[in-house]
Amino acid sequence: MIADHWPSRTLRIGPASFHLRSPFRRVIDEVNALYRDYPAATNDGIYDYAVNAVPSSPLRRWIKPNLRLECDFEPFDTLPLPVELGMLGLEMGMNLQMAVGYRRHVVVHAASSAEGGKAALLIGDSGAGKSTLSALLAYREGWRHLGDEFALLDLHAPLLHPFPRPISLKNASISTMEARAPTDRFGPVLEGTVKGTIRHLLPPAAAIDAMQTPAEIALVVAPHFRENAAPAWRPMTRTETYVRLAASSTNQALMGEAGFEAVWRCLAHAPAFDIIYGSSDDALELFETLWRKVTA
Amino acid sequence: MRPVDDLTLVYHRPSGMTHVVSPAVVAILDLLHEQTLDIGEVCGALAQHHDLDGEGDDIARVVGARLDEMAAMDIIDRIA
Repeated sequence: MIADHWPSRTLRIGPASFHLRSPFRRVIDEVNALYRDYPAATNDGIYDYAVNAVPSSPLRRWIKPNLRLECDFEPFDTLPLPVELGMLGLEMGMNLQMAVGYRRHVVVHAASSAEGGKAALLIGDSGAGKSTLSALLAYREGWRHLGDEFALLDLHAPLLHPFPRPISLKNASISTMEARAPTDRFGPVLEGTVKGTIRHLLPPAAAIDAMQTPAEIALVVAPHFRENAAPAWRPMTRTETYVRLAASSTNQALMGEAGFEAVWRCLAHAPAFDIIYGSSDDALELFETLWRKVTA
Repeated sequence: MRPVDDLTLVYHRPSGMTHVVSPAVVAILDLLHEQTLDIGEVCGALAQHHDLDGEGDDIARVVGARLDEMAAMDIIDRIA
């Protein structure tokens, strides 16, 4: 049911490339707007993953339009989305390809940011605060956004490779960043998603321009935002760090010994801390205190 | 095997699984590396290496429990 004349867009994000297609022009128009700074050509003319947002049946293209994903690696048991959330659907499809299909690096569900040639890895469950902290760092002078959804661990050296997708801001973090980032870097407000209200924030152009440049991992942080909490931190043991990294990885076990070694190299190279804070200012101050401590 | 804190990460090549194990398990794995021993020989070697002469019952109890766990994890083979 996929037609070659449908609107489409090829995207290169860090080391991976995607071909997105949908018969609904507005979906691809929204992708083109949000990904306007990203290259549309792959290095060799071949893309890694196809992600298509198609009507759930031929009639649903015209009557009560909706869409579902058709990808190289497909989701199971998902309900069709309204066309207004089509771009979000394609984002979910790209995430799925990386989580399930990507094998060139160890994929960790984590955010990452770099200062100079060194990088911090931000791990934690969804909603813990890693996307918000990475967004705060993305628009802080001196920092380079590497990614907010997936961090890519090199298989041979303690390096993090950028995968700087637009940052997925949720609920209260949207207004936090609207006060700190330029208006023209935001995507449309997407309401009624399973995670509440979502708004994407395009990283600074410099971070996208540098998305082929890895950084040496220097710090692992597990951030926790708790309303009105006093800032606090504790060092994590290497055992805890290993277990949390391995549990956060979508492909480490599939990568065999190379995956094990990559995660080991990360925790052997970078100290890890669990941090709690109750405001964005406290988060930045606590994080940068630890950063100065480990990179001094 | 990669030591972390007081524990050790063991990557098991045949299964692709990683285990977090205690020093006693590491000591037993070292002994069983490329050789087959019975439980008495494992206990005897550990008693000798760790200067535990006269603690035979305790060693046998600890080693027996660890061997059961290691067999359950499939990181050693139990030969009848």
